[in-house]
Amino acid sequence: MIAAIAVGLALIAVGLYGLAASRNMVRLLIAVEVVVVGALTSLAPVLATAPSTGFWSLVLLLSMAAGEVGIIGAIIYRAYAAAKTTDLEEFRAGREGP
Amino acid sequence: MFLEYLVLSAALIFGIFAVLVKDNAVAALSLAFSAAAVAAYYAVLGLAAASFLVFVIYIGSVVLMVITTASMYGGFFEYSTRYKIAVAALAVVTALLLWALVPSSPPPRVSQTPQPNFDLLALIAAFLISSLVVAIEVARRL
Repeated sequence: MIAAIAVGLALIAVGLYGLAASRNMVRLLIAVEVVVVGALTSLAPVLATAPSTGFWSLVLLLSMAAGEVGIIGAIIYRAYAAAKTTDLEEFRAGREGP
Repeated sequence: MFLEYLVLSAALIFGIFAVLVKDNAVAALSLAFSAAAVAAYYAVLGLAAASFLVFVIYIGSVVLMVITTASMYGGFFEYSTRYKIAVAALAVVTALLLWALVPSSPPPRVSQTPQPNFDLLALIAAFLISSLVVAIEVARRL
């Protein structure tokens, strides 16, 4: 069980690294999902010891993941339709100065 | 115990691939494999309802949307048919291997009291090393 928590924490750290290092919106979305997978892994011991609490935590986490993917996906589609790119550096370069 | 470690290491390796691989579509597929490994870990523990939720709701809707988005902007549709067939065959073989390896009855529940053993030391080591790596890499890129 402790191995699951260790792997979950490592996945969360990897996802946070992806969030900090990536400049592409699709990669940011994937990095956020890696964090969610890490949280799912860390939830396994809770599910095994307290099934009711763990199950509803799982439902809550999956609902949050679905909503967050919908919002980020909509932003990506809209940004690509407006600027024909998903690169954040190009958005920043195209911004008008003060 | 060996199967649990195998599935967890698969989840970790595919999660790392999802962040480090350059191609968006391959990264999304790695994310799907990582989530599938987590669902398989739930199944190994005998948590059938949770495994079903992760497989159907998370992989079936959330990760599928991530794969679609990454494929739209990652060039997956331009890949050769041979490559797509190879990826699909690898996924099927992995699923069949996991299906064959998962025991039919759930393992007996063990005490959840943390013991000062190898697992606890591995947890602390993983936490410290991952924090260190993240801090160094973020500081390098700022």
